[in-house]
Amino acid sequence: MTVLDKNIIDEFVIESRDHLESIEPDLLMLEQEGANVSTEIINRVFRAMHSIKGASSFFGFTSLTSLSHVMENVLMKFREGVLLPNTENIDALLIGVDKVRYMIDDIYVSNNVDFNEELTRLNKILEGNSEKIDERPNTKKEEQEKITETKSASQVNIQHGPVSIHMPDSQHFLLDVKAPNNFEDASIVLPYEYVIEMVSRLLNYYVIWIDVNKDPIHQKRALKEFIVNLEVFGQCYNGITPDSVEQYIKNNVIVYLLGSILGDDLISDALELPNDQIVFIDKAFYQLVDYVDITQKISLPEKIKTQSKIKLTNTTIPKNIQPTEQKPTEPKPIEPKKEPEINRPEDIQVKVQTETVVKQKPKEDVMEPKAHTTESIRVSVELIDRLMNLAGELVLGRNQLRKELESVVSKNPKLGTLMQDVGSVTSEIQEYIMQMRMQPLGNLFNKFTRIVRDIARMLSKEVELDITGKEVELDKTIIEGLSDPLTHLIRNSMDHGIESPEERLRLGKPRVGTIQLKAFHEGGQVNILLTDDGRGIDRAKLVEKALANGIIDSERATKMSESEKMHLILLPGLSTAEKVTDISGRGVGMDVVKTNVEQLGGHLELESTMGKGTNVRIRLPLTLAIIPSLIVGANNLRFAIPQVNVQELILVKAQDVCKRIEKIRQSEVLRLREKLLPLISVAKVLGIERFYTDPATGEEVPDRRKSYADRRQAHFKDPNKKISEKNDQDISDQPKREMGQDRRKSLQSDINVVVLKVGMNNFGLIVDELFDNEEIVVKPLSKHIKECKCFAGATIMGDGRVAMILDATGIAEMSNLNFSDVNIEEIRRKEEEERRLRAVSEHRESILLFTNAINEFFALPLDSISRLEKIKPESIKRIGINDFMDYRNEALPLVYLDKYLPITPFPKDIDEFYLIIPKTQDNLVALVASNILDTMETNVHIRHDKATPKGILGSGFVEGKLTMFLDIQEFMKIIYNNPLFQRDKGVNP
Amino acid sequence: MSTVQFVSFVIDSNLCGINILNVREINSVLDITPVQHAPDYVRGLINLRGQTVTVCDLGVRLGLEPRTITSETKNIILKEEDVALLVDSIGDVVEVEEDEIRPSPANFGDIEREFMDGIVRLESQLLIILSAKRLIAI
Repeated sequence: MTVLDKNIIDEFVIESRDHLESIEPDLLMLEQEGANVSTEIINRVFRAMHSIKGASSFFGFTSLTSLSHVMENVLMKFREGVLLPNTENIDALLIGVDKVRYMIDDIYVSNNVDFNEELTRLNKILEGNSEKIDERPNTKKEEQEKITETKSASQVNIQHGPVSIHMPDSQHFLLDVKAPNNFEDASIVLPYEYVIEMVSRLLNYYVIWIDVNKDPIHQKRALKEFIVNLEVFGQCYNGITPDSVEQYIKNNVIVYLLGSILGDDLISDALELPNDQIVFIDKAFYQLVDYVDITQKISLPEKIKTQSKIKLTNTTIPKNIQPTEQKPTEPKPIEPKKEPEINRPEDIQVKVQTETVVKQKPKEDVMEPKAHTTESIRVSVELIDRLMNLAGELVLGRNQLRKELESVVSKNPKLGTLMQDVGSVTSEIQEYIMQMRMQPLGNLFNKFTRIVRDIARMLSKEVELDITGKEVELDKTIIEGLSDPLTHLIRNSMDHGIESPEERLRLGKPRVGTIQLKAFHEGGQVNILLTDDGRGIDRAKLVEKALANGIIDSERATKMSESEKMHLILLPGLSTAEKVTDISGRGVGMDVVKTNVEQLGGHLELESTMGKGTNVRIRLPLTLAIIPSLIVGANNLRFAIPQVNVQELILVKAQDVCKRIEKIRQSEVLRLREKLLPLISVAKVLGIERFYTDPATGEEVPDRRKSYADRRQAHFKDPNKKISEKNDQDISDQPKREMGQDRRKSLQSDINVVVLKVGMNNFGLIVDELFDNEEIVVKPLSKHIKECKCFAGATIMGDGRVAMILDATGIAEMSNLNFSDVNIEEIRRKEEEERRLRAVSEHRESILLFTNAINEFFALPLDSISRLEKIKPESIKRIGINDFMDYRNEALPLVYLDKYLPITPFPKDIDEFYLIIPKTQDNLVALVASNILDTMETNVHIRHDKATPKGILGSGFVEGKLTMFLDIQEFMKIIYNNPLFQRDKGVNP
Repeated sequence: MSTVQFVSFVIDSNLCGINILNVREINSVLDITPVQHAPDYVRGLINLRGQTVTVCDLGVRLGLEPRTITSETKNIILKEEDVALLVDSIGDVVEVEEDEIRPSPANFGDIEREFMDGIVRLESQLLIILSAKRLIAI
């Protein structure tokens, strides 16, 4: 084996892995289809297994050969229909596949691997059926002969290059091969059965001329040894054996028909024979597929019963085939190339067995592997990575060039278009290289069929895995990283989610559980959806567990939303194995799953309905190499924040800073839609000294302000005191001098907050400046700075400077964000608010009862009203779309309740109506009422629920009438925030 | 007798050298992006033709003061690990016979001994030979 070197073996290992990759799903499909299995799949598995066997024997990996040989035999029995691909048999094969994979993983010691167990199991299957094989009646001979006869000899006429094939009679093929040099042309007679065998083995076939006086001597071998050596590389198909070789010598030349697994680029080296003594005949030979029926080899009673697969039974192979070699008496006329007349097997079948259902087209699948070879080439990942890097640099270079060119483009406009061209080509290059890294998810998904099957058997559950979106492509690295978390999720689904068949039946569910694995594109991301119809996650038990583990306290537990409760499952404390097995929901290592997904730049969401099932959604970026990021600035430095972490951007206006930012214990928080958002300043967490330009001197002076909340501490003693509108006004009235000291310049006193998501919590990152979104290429950090938790990497910006990529999780950790403090505060406030509402609702109050539409009743506390007026419609002045009334020499805007609340419109045709002028700090308004009914003392219970609109405290029955109680403070806020109303204010006459 | 070539450079008043085989290039890319919370000797990152290189302040590394950047300041980019050493100024390539290299003295100025590979007596000055490997080890 002189040509063997590591490279070829490596190649063999890679190819074998590919084969195994395809064998496994095929085996599973065989199992599923059982008796109805199509020969196409069997053949595919068989071929793959055969390639492994062939190559391994060639390299001398005997254990591998023996094992794959037995497996091949089992497959053969499937093909013959002697064995059914039932669960037990497929099991044995799958275990074999595992062992083969194990051997291939460390191929050089594969001979030491013990595979007795697998072998015994496989042999048992074979033996168990040997009787049946023997019983196989040699019937149908008649029929088969009939069929064979239908192939008239003249039908075969194949011409390809130096090879031509004819059929002198129904049982033989004649292979004529023009010799490539001085040798005589060869003519080989091949019995029909040989061709069937040869076609179905899918080897590479060669006709070899051997000069007995030269070639063996050249190799320092005796003729016999020479032939023995040839047999190492393949099999002879024209009857030559080391012992019989003498009789085949003709004019000192032997013509040898070799079937080998070696490709035509290797064969010459392997055989140590010159290329011009070898003719590769596959191109012509495999055209014979159209003329022979390879399924003829397989035939047996069972098959005929099914009436679909079998067309012919085997002929008895003649015991003594006399391989003949003859020189054609005269050179054949070279016929013009034409389509060989195709006699499709289906045709034969119809002719002979008219009752047989035509179903399969074996010839197509035989040709399949040939078609594959030209479609792709193997490229090392390393090379692609390098290309990827270079492409990234090209993009950077382009960006820098574009920046530099901007100034000169005006002088030479051609540069602009040129730059555009280069730019678009660069983008395309990058895109395509990126695509090279993309792989279909199918590669990963297929694996799960096996896993689901194995686990289902282990747990005695019945589960069907439904996979869609195999064709969706993702970056190779991401796919690799997904394997673990997805396996974990599927295991969880099967272990904790899907119930046993009995239980399912009892629950009225279908006996077989379903797990759906679905991949699809959405919003520039890839979504993977894992759905099961099992029992779902038991939130109550999760909460119980979380309480027991001290992750949450009981107070918090009662306040948690359903979704929050479910997401408890993602917390590390809830995940250690033993703790979780008592949770009937899920939970084993879900935090690890989540971490894994997040490391891939992805995002995990859960949804579950008790008794119905669970939905896990994973969102992933298409690639890791380039990530869309938000560029922010802090003190002249720029930082990139990956978009996946960014929830939203908030601008807190200078005048709102005091209103919206406050301090809870040590941390600053921003009030954002009823919630409290902990704030971190990027400058502070990174220890960057903040500077501001002293307006007096123009110098850069370190900013000594410790926190944003400090802005108002000069004015308020108690930071927790609720800030009223009045106080706010005070601030804006501060002398200018003080303003200047507190703020760098007016614009910058607005605060930019980037809301980042870390796990279940959000926090706000205060940055000095917001720049564009950019696609950045991630550069890893050297070991010297790996320890900096706050950075995920570095990148190079368009101007060539390096910018650091911020890591949201790291920043939250570094600044010791205590979300629970904030949560507690939030809860406290909610309760306070509730108490207030309760107090209001229970309090005995004097109220004013009025109507908007005639039959809709409203109430306001008397003490919130400063005045009531009765007016005529004539006294209303209309400016634009708004109504005003002259009131103490000011234009008093009229507010119609129906403009701001979901209620029936104010009646139009009304002679006189009323104005209610509430007590407010400033900005007088008048609420319009169609009628004022009464004032009264009441202790009505006011109902407030989720459906209650903003601005309404709630509703209750006052003297039998359903009445809405206005929350005047809230309602005024709604009015002030309404853009229409704002405009009103501007129209002060 | 074989000779060794050293890239020589100045740190404060010390003339130091690093085996030329460890040096990829010398440049004056001084647009350094600081990395917060990094070890004190890390000055930051520079962009070297599309790759990021970690710049170490050799002064701090050797136990001296941080370097002040002047027009003479240079980066010595090492072949391994994408690390650069920031030095005050760069000198000639010095070729010395191997046997001229003396073991490093127990104490030499303020430079920490662990980074020294030996010293060579040149005509006018001592050349302190530094070990690139130990300088970039953590």
